[in-house]
Amino acid sequence: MTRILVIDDDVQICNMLERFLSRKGYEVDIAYDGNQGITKFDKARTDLVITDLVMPEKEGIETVMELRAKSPAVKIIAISGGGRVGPESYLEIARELGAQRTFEKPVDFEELLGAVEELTSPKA
Amino acid sequence: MIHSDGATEMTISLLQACASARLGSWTLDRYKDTIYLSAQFCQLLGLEDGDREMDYQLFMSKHIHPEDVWFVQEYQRAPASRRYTFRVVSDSGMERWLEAFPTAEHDANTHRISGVVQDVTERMANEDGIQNARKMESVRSIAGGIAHEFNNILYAMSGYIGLLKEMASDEDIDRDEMREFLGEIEFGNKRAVRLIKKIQTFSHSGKQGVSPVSLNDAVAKALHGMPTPENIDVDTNLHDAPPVMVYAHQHTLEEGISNILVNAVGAMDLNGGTVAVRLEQRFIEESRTVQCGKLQTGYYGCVSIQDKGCGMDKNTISRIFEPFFTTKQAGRGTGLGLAIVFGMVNAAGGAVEVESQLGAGSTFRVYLPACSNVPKENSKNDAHSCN
Repeated sequence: MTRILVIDDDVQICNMLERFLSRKGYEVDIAYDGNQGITKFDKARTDLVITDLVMPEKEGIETVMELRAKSPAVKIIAISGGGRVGPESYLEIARELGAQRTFEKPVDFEELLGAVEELTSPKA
Repeated sequence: MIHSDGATEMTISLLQACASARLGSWTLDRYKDTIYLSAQFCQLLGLEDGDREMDYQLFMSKHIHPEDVWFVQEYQRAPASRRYTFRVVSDSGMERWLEAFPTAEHDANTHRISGVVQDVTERMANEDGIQNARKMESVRSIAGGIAHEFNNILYAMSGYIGLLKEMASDEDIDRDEMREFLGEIEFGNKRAVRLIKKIQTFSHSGKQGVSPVSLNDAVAKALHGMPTPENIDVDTNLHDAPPVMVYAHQHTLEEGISNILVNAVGAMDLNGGTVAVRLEQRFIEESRTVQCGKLQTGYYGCVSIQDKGCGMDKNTISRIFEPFFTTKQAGRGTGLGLAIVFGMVNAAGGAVEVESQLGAGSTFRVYLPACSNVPKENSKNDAHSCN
């Protein structure tokens, strides 16, 4: 089963993504900040990480860098709702650092699902 | 006073120094009601032909910016020498900023008052530019924070709406799950309403609404509404504290104190302990800048909140009053609590002093201008007991 790790400091978003992706047949794990995310990533095989970019403790950008350093193969989707410098800038940095897809909050779920399917398909 | 052919070299070099530093001097004769202006001062006003003596009232009405007249008069009445900046208007109508350095102490009975002024127009223009840049940066930061918070709420809500739409076409509709998703949308709605209320409280930073309020009542109300887990005790001197009236906005004062209390409890929720709350009137002898605002010489109502929790490093302390900055775990804070405190003290002309040590705890002292300059119950002597 394809395993997805969701990292977001917003509890409601984590719960929603878990319900949304489970319904589509994915196995979902949740982390509420970058540190938790890295710990969970180290413990279990992960095919795709969907991470927020503006979070307390460890920022999403830092998380993307660390994930990419740990595993060149893992697929990463970065999502941002903006912050001090606006969502575009964060997403551009995330792309530079190796996130395959980026989305601005609020996300179009059809597009998100399309990206998840594409990145987790055996051809990807 | 007017230099003659017999002027010494020292006088000449002094005059040259004054000219290159754009310094002018003045002497006010209170008996004659005239003011003497040095040649350099005259130049700053666009007046040719060297130094001159002129009618003081005429000088004030013609050369001091109308908005600064009261200010200049006030400073000239002041008992001690102080620096101040004000605008002058030249003969051609051009405005310049001057900084005044009265050279001798004076009081209301002093016959002559002398002083030196320096042209600081360029410096003021730069400071203005820096201030505007800072304002813009903080507006961008706040707007970004608001957008982030609302995008999170909309993201979650639209996800649940999508799930409900999908469920609508399921053959066997799970009504419990449907109710759960509707509950989540309702929760998102409540989050948005709460966020708007917090932003409104934060933005209420104008002087409007600031009035004399009882600091004792505000602390009592904040303590009453404070959630205290079983492992947290509150030690307060509220029962025997002197009555302290301060200038503040009533609602934001209660909310601000409450936010600091919530943080103090949050910092100790793992290991438990005692939150110490002290209220008193204090006299600040020397002006000083603290982490949030500036304390001026005078009387303040002070409420201090001390925890023995996790504490903060210097970098965190420097950011805690920024809107939307939070160190709390997911779902436990919006980062607006201390921004509301900032707005509240800023509006009231108060300040917040923060002391913290990692692993040892934090102390927040909220100072608000006291309504009365008369110290109550020897608060001046107790000035250092606010811990």
